[in-house]
Amino acid sequence: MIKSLVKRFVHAFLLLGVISIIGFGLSKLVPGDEILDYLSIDDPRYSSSANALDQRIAYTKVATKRGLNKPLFYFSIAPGYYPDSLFQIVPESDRLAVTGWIKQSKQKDLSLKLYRNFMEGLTFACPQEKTSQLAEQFCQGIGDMLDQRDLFSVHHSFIRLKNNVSSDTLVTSEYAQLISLYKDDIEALIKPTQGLAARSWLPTFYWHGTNNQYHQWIIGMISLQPLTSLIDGRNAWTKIFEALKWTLLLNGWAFVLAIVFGMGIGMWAATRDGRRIENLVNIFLFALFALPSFWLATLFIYFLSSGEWLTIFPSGGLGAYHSAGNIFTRWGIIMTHLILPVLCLTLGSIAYVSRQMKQSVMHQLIQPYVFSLRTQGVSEKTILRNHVLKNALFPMITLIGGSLPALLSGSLIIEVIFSIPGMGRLLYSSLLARDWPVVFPILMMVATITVVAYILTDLVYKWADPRVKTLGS
Amino acid sequence: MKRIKTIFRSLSGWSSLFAVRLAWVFLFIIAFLAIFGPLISNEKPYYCKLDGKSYYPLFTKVSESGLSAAHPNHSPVSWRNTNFESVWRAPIPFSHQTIDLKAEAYLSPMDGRSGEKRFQHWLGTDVLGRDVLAGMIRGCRVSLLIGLGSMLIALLIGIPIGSAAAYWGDRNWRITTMQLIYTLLISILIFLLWFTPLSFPVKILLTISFLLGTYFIARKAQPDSRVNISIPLDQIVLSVISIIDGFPGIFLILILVAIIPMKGWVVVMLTIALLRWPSMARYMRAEVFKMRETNYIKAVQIANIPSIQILRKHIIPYAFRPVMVSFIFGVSSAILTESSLSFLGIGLPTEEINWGRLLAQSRHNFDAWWLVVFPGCAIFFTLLSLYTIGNAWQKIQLKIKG
Repeated sequence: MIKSLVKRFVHAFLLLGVISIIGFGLSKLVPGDEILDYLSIDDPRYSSSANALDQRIAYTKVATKRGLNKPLFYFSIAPGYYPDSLFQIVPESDRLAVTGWIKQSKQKDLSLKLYRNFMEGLTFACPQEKTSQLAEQFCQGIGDMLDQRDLFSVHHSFIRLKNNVSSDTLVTSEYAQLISLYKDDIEALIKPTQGLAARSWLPTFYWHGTNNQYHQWIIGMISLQPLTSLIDGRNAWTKIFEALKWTLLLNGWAFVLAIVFGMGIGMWAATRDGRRIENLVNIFLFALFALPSFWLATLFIYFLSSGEWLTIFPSGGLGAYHSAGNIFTRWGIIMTHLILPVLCLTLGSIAYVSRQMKQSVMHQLIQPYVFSLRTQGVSEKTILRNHVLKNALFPMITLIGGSLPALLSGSLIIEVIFSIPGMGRLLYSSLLARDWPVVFPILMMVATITVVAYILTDLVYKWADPRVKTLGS
Repeated sequence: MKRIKTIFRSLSGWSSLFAVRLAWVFLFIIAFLAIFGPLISNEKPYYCKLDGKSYYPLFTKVSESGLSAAHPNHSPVSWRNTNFESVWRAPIPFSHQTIDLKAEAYLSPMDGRSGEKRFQHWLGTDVLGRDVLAGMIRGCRVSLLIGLGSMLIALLIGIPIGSAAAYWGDRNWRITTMQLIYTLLISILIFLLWFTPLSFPVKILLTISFLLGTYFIARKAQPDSRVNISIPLDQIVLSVISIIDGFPGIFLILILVAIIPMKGWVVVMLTIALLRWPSMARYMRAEVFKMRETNYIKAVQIANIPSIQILRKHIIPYAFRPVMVSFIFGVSSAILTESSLSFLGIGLPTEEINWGRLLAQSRHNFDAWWLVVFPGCAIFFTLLSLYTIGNAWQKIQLKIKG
């Protein structure tokens, strides 16, 4: 028993590791440069019209702060003609450009040298003190070349730059020297290479050690270090727990109500199966089951709170509960705002839970032990309360266990419609803004709850019904 | 068949014959609108005659600008305003993207201001002055396509994986050490192959031929009972399922929609399929588990029929019937997911219009009750029909068994 439990937990731990790796990988696959979105927020002096060097300096600063100039994972596998230090080139566009050159020319040293020379040119020509038109042109030209992933386009931009520079009368020897340097490099890169040695085609394995991005965030998360949200600079954990509070309140209420009412109605319906009133309730519940909760929410808002027909309930948000002094009035305000969302979440699930419960109770009612109890003259009420109920609860364990993750991850659409600042909305808005320091902890929390809920369900099952086979076997 | 009919007669309420027939009729109407939508609501007329020349704009590539060029005296030609000599329009003379400039935005269905009776907006207009009825007809197509398509993909993935996991379990898929070595070698070869400077089609071709080669080697290899290694297939499948379940749905949906470089509705379909196949696999697994222990499967196994054939001929066709119920419920939940996503504005391109999008517009204008009621009813009745059918199917399965 203990051994199999330990085995299950180790398995769960491995699963969580895989989930974290996949989640991290997916986040890296999202197209677009995540730093550029935040550059103007992180660095007020940054503007997209700044020259190529200033942009890169600002970018590098942010990237270094966020550790984005580290390798992605513990190891990498690349074709032999790739250098092992590509990840250090920070602006993502530059890295993609250099990767493109290497792919095209298959010459890593020369490509890297060209990149270094370009950077040298930038530091030479771009600083603000150099106000000449030539320097500006030169700086812009190098910026253009760095944007090209194709070597022939680089060459094209280079020719243009060379013509511009040579037509200028104030060319100093430094510029001419740089130009000739670039000319050699680019022409050497463009020249078709003779067949590479087979060794350079074979994949090479690079070990990066623990100084990588994945390790950085997983350790940062496990050690509960203060993660900063990228959107507003607040502590990500504070944001998450604030949202979690509301989600637990909202979903917890809906959950409890659905379970209590659903099981009650299910029991009631099972004992009156086939009667007219039960049929009516059944028909009503079935229709309720098919009702999309977001339509119900829109209908509620339209008919009960928008002022079109009736204005009984507040239409959204949580109200001004902060300014209410008394704790009772405070909770009163919160609860009146939660009535409609809770109702929307509950109605559909009541129908589902009662359906499951009815089936389960009816299954128990035809078992031999019920028949035997009846022949002994035990009253129906006692049979139901003392004997059937306990056995009928087994399927509910799976149901409750399965809905635990949903309890935590929130119900996005209801939270959006009623503007409740819960987990669903937090995750949604953070994902849209690519605010990974907030997204990853939520992801891992939901994953942990899901995986643990599986084990817990099995354990409770085992505890409730010892006939169930031992865990793991 | 006769037995099913008698069972049907004994059922009442939502699973009565009447309710199920009604549900099928509703679904057929939706399917009809989905298939023939462009013929029913379109701004282009079926047929029009201009200066003695006949055109069939809906069936040929005749555009307004093309007609204007051909008939300068009528220029600019517009489908609605030009005085054609004779014209035969679609029942609803608006397509879902037509912006009716004569009507205004948020025109109520009761409103008579839209001008001629022929161009009445029967269900009102939306924020841009587009016809709601045309939008809802378009919505049928999107919903059915995504609902059915995603569940079919989920079924295609889930059924083989689920039944294989249950049939072979953790211990019954045994391979010899030689086969394991072959497989490892071949996978390393394929891995290396993708780093070579060959062109993409050649790589694909070589990969496929390697895989086929492995398959034939594996088939020819004589199983040696002494050096067998069992593959924990069940555990692998369950792990993959719990990995997918472990992600919050919205995380996968938002990221995949951003990553997959395909048309909007294809991405939504694939994403929903990815989220749904674990549940199909789980149902299939449960059914096959039960069936594996039955005597007739044991008899077939003793007859030394290959496992693949047992699965294909004796297990999957019978296990599939109960799984059909969850397929139908799955279609409805896929439709619900799709409309929720459209309601939130995720996935489909912004110019696309469907039930969820129409419903979402009502949130910006509380006067527009027709944007709340009609698209919502469409979603509700579609889901209700699917539930009715699924429910009746489930009851029949239960009655047949016991």
